[in-house]
Amino acid sequence: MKQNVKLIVKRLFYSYYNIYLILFVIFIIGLSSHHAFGSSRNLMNILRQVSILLILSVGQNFVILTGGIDLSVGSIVSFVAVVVVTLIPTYGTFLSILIGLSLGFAVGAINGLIISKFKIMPFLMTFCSYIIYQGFALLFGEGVCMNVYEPSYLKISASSVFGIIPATVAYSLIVFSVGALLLSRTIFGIGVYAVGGNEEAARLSGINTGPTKLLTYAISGFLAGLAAIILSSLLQIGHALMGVGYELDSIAAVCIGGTLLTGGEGSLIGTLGGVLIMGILKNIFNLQGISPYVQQIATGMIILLAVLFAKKKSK
Amino acid sequence: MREVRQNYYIEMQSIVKRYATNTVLDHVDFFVNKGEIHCLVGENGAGKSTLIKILSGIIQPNEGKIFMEGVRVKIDHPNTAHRMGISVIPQELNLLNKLTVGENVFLGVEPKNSLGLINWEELYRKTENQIYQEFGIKIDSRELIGDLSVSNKQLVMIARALQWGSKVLILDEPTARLSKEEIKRLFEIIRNFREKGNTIIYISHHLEEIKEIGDIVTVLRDGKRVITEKLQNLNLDKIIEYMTGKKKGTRVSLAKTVIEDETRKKKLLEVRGMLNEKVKNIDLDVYKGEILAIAGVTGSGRSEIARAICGIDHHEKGEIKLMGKKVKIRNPVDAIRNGIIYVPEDRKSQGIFLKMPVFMNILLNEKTLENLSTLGFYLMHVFKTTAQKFIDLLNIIVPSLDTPCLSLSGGNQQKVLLGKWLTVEPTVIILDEPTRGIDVGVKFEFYEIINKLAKKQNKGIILISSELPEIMKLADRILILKKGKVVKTYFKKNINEAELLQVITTVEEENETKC
Repeated sequence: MKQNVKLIVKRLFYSYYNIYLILFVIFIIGLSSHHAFGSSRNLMNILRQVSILLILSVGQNFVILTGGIDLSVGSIVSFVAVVVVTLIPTYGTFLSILIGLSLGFAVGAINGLIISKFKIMPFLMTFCSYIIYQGFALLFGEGVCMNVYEPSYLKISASSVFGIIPATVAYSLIVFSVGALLLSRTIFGIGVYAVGGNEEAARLSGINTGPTKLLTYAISGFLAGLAAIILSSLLQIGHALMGVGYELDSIAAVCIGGTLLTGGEGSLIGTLGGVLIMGILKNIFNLQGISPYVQQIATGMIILLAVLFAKKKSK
Repeated sequence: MREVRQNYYIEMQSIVKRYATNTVLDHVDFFVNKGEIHCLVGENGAGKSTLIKILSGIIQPNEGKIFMEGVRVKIDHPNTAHRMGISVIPQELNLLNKLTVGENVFLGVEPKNSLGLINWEELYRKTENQIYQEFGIKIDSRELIGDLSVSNKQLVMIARALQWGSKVLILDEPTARLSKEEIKRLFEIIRNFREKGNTIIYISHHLEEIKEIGDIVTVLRDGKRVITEKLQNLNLDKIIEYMTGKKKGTRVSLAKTVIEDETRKKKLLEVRGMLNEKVKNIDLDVYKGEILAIAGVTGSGRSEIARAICGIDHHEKGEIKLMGKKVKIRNPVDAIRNGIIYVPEDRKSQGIFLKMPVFMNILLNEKTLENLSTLGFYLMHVFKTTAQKFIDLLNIIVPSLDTPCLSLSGGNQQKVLLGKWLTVEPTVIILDEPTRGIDVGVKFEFYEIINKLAKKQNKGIILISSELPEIMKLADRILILKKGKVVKTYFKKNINEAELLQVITTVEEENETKC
């Protein structure tokens, strides 16, 4: 009994609060390190920057909860961005977006289909997709910067809600909320945790493990498509390399957020914390004028610390 | 300090092993002479495996001493046992399937050439010669272990033990998956090994085999040694009596498996000709309010029948009728929807979601989740109140509904698992080793629950168990399996525990008797 109480306290304490504690500490460091950090303009800037990562991390979180991994999100972002930007002049904003989202969903679903049907390791499958869609992006984008001039498309990211919240932040919050709702209040969400926690038991319980996994990859692909549209609208360009690195950033954010790579345990609230930690760190580094190379080293070390921390917690 | 003793080759003295409050071995003495085939028998849970694990250094005893050739030894690691020449051939052969026969035999002791590299020629030649000389058969030493038959794998395992210079060979249920011919060959090898002055410890459920091959037998019961005696002084009935602790009554002739009042009750489940790799043409019926036990030694296909019925493993042929209506079961979902549920044997790997909270575990099956939700969405309070109902019903002790199952005791985890399946209001419940690894107190609680489910709620229950007292306590009818076939069916009143044990361990495959 005493042990149980201790365990509950431990879980509550460790699961999210620590992530937000770390976030808080980093925030204080940020405030004391540079006068511009605390300005509302800078904070909004951080939020705008992390919104893309948050959208991708939500998808990644679904996949990782099932015990899988999606290495292809970055390539899908590049691929979809290039395709959408190419299509806008002929098909118009609305149709192009629709095609872009469907494309993201479809390539994600293909990942999921092959993984669940042929029992290919998620790492291998999405690694192949990562290469393939990067190739497609280069093929369609020809490696050049394609400018977007269509005003209705640029408006996607330029508008704001109530005049204060940037549209991109609003999109990411909607994605986050819908994702959280799916995970915590639907049968599908239970299936995601069940498959990741104990796939054989899930199968014996009558959970359709294949479709559940497939859907998580499709969600991840769809959100990569959405991120591609927002990103290309924000930057006003389409480029075949614009998604590079996002797959690793999203995996890092999910890990820092306390979701286990083995699946079955974790939450979107943690991932939100992970995303914010990554974004704020990057902002502090930039304000300090630290070189991107050093940033990379620091980011890697921070992820390692987070994983070590998670390991200690699970003991 | 060196305590020196005489007489026995291996002497395990007053061994005690406890797990928490559970005493598995209670001051057991186990003495083995050099050059004998010493059999170790006992019912499931008697402590045979624990004793062997201690002798082979896998686990440590709480009390007791071990002497080898009169010298006190401490076997604190499997490697220590190897160095002393003790090798175990376990039931699940632990060879490296992706390596060749030769590589397996010489693993860690590979012959080297002058450059210090492995001399492959010599390795493969030596392996083939050795296997041929010792066992008189030819095995291609370049073949992958994974491609060999079970029986040949076993030979490779023995060859490896000999390569290590083993003088004591411990065989755990070596014949479970062998054909008659292969058993004969194995016995010859064992006898040869003995002729060279080596020692064999032989564990088996098959008493007839023990009678055939053994010199001396030690019988364990409930963690205590009952007797060590020369096999020539014992007959099968006597051994069984020692194993069960019960005197065998007047022997019921095996032919007396009469079909008793066929019309008595409503048939719930009817399985005909169930066939796949592990299950051979199984017919079985379960009646309303009946507890049908399935008994058989390990590897007889007990769980496999259940898995085939519930659509977990596929079946090539077979017909399932539920209350007279034919149903198609191709996957677990079909089984659940038809009210046939399987509570698996290995709860940690197949049943429980350890990291998920208790209430979720209780509801986590396709049918219940669907019933409690609308369009895939659910309300937390609906979930929690439903789960609470079953927690109260089964008297599950949990600190809170949100506690992860990880922190529950084995008994409570098992109750959660049972509760989860009761939420679907099943017609037929298949329980696979429902009380394994559970405290005695909770065990009896389970017996009551199982009895109530059958007698009060008129469910049909299939009870798969390796514990005969449990079967004798609960079952109405007992099905006996051997190598995936039903060999006998008994009404409980026609058989006692000792006879049951005899039938399970000795009956040869006969034409199946239908019930």
